Amino acid sequence: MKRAFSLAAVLLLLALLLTGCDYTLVRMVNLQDRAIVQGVGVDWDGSEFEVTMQVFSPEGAGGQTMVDPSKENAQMITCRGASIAEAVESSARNQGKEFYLGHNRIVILGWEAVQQPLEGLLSYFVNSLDSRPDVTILFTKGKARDVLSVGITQSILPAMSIENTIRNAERNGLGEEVLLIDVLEALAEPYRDAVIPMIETAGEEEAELGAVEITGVGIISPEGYVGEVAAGEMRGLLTLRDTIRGAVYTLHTADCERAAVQLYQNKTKLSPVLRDGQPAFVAEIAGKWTLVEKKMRGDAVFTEESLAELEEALAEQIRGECESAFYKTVRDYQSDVFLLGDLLWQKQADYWSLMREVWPQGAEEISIECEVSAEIDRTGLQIVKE
Amino acid sequence: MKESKISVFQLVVVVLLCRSFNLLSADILNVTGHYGMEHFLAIPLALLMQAIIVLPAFLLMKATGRGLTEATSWTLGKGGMIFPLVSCLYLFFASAITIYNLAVFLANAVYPGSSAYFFAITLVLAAVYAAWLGLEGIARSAVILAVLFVLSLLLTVLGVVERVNPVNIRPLEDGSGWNILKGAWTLCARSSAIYLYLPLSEQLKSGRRKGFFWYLLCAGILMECVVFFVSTVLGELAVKEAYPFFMLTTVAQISIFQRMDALHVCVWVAVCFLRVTLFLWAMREQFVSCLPLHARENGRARWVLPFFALATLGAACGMLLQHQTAELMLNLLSTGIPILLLIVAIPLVCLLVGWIRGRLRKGESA
Repeated sequence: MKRAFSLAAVLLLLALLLTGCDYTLVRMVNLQDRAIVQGVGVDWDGSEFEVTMQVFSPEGAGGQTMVDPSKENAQMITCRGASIAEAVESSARNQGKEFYLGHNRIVILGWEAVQQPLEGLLSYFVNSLDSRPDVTILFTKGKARDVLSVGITQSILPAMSIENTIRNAERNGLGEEVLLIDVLEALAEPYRDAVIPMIETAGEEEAELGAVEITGVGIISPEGYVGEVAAGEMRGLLTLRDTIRGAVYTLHTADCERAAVQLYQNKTKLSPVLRDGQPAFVAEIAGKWTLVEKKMRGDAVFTEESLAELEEALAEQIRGECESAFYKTVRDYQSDVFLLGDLLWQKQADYWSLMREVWPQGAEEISIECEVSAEIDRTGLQIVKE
Repeated sequence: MKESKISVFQLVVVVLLCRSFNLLSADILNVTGHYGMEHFLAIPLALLMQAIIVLPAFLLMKATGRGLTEATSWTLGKGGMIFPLVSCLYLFFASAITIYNLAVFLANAVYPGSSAYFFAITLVLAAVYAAWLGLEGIARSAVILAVLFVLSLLLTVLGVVERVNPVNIRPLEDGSGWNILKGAWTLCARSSAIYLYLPLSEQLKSGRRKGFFWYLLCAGILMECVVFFVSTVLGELAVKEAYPFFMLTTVAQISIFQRMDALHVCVWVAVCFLRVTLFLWAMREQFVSCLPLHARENGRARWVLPFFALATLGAACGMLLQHQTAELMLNLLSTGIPILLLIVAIPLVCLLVGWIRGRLRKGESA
């Protein structure tokens, strides 16, 4: 018995030792043979995919691993294939490293690629442990390669700069960071639609910085791109999706020539109701705001009444923006990015059973009523007279 | 009176960890077809079913004052050998499927391009060694593993709590009642842990029923927790994923901890190792109980464990060669027939025969 188990122990030891050197048993790739991908751009030219990889490549002077923050520290590798996997594999023809997507930060889809059904297109990025479903996803109206190739030096890596840009936009109510998992989750249900932020290279005045800018969001159905919501309507969309983190509104009232308020907390709750057989949604929007800037008219003094007027004007502006974003996405694009179908399923099951197969196309008369509570409860260091 | 080899707490932990293997793997799928309210309600119903179907076995143990294996021999005589033999067969297939599942998961999701056989072989080698060391060692290591398991689960849950969206929970629909019933039965039938509890509980001096109650309670909480987070975070995407809980761990993030999936894989492999070890140990115990006393004493019993290990490995490798075999076996186990035979039919027959032969303790017969 002792001999048998000694043999088993030796076999076990051998098996463990083999893990490091036998490629056929456990596939190992050494770090120096890896190309660490920071960003991926996917373009479709009608017959094949063009995949652009932004690969980490330190450009410091002190050695191979030194990072110089003033430089891009990245190399661009472009490859083509009938599928994304084939394109990535084909890169082996002209470079000696294997791509590693475990540290990938962003996936940018080109204009032609975003027109394709995304569930299949994105499956490559969630099918192995090497890739991650929590990468930021964006699309552009041009070529993804062009956006990814813009030489941004705001951060130590260009992909990191783009990722930081979208996060900053989200903090300021100018965009929403959408992850790959969010898109896949939304598109898993045939009646839901997803949003993906739209990114473009910046205008001429910022071209020297090589910057990019968030210009809106795209509405994506399971079949592909449906339409866009431009930056001007973004706040309404984000408010209704309850993903708004911050925003600055400039208001004009009888007392205030100009006043700016900043959002610091918001909660939106959508509830479905049936009115004359048609679904309507009530949006309860409760936001808390800080007064950050004001210019009074003439001799006017800032009082509690002025504050109430501001709150009223603010509520009115939010209401308008929300309704505009709602009707644009739901009526114009016939899409559901607010989980309206799910809410109906939970609260109006009978109606939902009739509409499920055609939702959201079948509900043209769908309407919204916004109940906005905008409370400016922080006024900074300035006096508010009673 | 014999000494308890393990405590009730250790027994509950060991069986619970074995049960959790299914929760973390793909087996959670195809229970009700979708996640949501149906799945939530199927879980307590499944626990109730388990509590009911285990009654004959508990009654038999109480009526004879013996462990289940011994009780079948006591009441049926030589015919009682059928129980340990059927039991061995059940454990054999359950462990082969477990090894197969782990090898497929590692080769598909963690080390693509690697040999699945390699994982099966190393796992069985490690498990046979651990089973050889005995139940006490397994139980002690299980408690340590349970701490890691709870920690990894907690980190995952905290990492995804911001992504929870209750709107993803599918409400009940027409026909949900039947789905709940079917789902509950599937959960019950796939729960080899309830069978495992019985031979393991033979090692206890007292507290079998209390332990079983605690096991059911903890398993219920664990299952509801996993299903809640999978449902609310992934929604319908979970149904399309082969390993939904693993997908959940890939998006979990707490501060600088961003690779919960790596932690999950480690814990899951350890849980799988524990499960296979226990199955091998239980198989050996069951088979040895059928051997005549002289065979046990002259040392032939020592070959039982390596034999079962090799046989299990062979079966797992066979399943890796022919995936349909695994599907077939899983479907067979999912019918619930094996578990009904083991913990309902045989104990009921034993109770009846024992009552006829007068081998039950007075006032405690069926």
